[in-house]
Amino acid sequence: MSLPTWNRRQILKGMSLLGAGLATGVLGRPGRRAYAQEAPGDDNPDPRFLIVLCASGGASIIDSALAIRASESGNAAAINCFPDELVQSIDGSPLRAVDLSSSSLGSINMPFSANQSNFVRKHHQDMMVATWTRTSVNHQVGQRRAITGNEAWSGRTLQEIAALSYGAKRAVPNAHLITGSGYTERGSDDGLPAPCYGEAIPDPALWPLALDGARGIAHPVDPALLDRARALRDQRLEPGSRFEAAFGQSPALAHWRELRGARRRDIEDAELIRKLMFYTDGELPLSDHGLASSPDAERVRAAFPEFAQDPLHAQAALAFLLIRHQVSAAVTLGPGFDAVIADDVGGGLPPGALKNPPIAFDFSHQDHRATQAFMWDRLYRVADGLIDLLKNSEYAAGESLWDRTLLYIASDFGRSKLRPSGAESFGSAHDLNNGVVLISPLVRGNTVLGGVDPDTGLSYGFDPRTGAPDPGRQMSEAEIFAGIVQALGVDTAGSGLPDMPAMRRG
Amino acid sequence: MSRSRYVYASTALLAALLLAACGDPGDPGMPDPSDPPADPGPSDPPPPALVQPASTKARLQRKGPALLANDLARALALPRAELCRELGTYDCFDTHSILLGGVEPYRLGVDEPITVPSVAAPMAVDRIALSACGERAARDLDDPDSAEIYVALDPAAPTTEALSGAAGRLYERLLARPAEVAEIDALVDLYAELEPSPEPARTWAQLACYAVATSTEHLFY
Repeated sequence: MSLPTWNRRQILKGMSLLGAGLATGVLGRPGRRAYAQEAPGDDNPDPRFLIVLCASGGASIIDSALAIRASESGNAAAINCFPDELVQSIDGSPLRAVDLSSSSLGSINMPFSANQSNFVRKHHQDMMVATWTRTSVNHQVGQRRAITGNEAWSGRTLQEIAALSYGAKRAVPNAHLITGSGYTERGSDDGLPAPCYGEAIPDPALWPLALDGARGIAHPVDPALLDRARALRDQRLEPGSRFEAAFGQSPALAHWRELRGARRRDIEDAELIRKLMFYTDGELPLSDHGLASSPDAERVRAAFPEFAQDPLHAQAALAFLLIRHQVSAAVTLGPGFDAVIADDVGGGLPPGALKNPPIAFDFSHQDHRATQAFMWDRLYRVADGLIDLLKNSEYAAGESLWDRTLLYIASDFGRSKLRPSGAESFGSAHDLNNGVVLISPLVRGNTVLGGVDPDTGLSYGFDPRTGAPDPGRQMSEAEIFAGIVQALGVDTAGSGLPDMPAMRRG
Repeated sequence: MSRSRYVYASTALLAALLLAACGDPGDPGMPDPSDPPADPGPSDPPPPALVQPASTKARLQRKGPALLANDLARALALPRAELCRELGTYDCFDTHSILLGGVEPYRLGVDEPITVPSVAAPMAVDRIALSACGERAARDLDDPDSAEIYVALDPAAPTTEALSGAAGRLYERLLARPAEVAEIDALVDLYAELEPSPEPARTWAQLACYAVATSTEHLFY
């Protein structure tokens, strides 16, 4: 018998292929099942809601709640710190804010004023900042790890966990109002019920139309008669067909039948086509087609008045309605990488004309300080609108929806800490070191967990049990992920996640 | 072996295989074409019905927005742009593209179809099918001389023949196959169930089309 022989070149080639396969996850990862079990577990009588507000491009914590004053640093000219007067302290709070005005945003000649202090002053009792050190400075990878804790719990995303825990009775447990980002990638746990995976909502204005099979169409039909046609299709036409005999056992068909049956009925019966429609006849010919606006449209539009021009405001309007009507357990929204400019601008860019700079927070490559100030202000304003609306919406027995909501400002990663000597306008790179902002009555509010070394701009960690700052420690993605999951009230026993009591309230 | 000799050898081998496959006419297992067709005796069992075997893999794909639009436009003889418009303005296939399994890489960053159908997808399909079917029904009933599907369908009192004919055409056009008798009967029976409608014939035309157009056989391949 002759044994196969390999030369050294073949052995090295084989090893490199195996290594590449393991590194990319191609090997050792089972084939993805598109159709898992159909429904989340039992309804949780004590639900929570998760809002993931994506700081696409990289929000720097030392340009907001952990900003450094120049007088505090022994290395002020070289690190990213501010003239003392720009960093606002909030009475009774360790949280800081940067209020900054600028005549331009990088090469974009549009004056603006950014204000963080109003938000922090208003919401600091529910705000918690926790430091962490990330594992990637790639946008897509960093975004994904911001919501999986670097695959800390079987690769589940925070939104999937919220949907699994609190989405049993929700029509769209996990709503993705931003698309095409790492924040809305599907997690790698294929064993979850299908509704837990994110539902893409590409257009907040028109998506609600797809929540009823017949209302508002060009050739209206009596719903009762439509039901008879559906019953005929489901009970007589399809069961006897050869197509059904051949492919009836297909998981794809089983999933489709489940969607068009019970889940469709629930959604249509809930009248979501009306409840989630925040546009009015002023923008869309709704009444001409027998449709109407949400009863909440007026206050939603007041909170997000730029909804028609700014996609982030439109996302926020629908995000609120999805929680308000308990359609979703998790909503994900955020600015995209496209520039957004008001439609009615003529000649030049007056203040407010630019809603979103190109590449969002990542425009910091061009002008770090102004971009960070502009974008933090933008996110805080949206968060403020959501919080106010939720505080004024009753969940039950005098409890507001906000009392059960956690808002997580998720960032791709941090930004580099250095600047050219004394420069006020400079570009920054990506950096692993950063911190997160969580806003919720469910977290330990008015708290900074960890801290920042004023001489380097680098954040350091904290004791997961007591919250005491620990300058010799860096917090991992898994730890902060675990803290968020546990603050949401999810039982993580057996998950392998660390216990993070310092991040929970009470 | 030269190229010409290779071709000759291949041709000879192919011919030999074809002859072998034809079999021997004297073989008792082969019917003689000159024989009259066998007359089944009264005691012979009926021929077994053709049974559709189940697919061993059953790998199905959902039609994406472009394919669905093209199929509906062709089957219902309607311009694609007139199949369905949300609020009379927005093309339904564009509006619901992502839900229908489409992509939009430039504006939305969606460069692959979503893996699991959206919960809203069946309702988006319903809206499209009802709109397109309603449009075809309206055109045929309003202008019977140029009817495409609902031929000779008297809106006041449609005959069973007219209903059956239309049902058969729906299957041929939408599913590219003749309807089974049971399928035609089922669609004809639907008419009686729609009599509460002020215009039962028009409603039947729309809903019979809808039932076939939203069947899994039409939506998957």
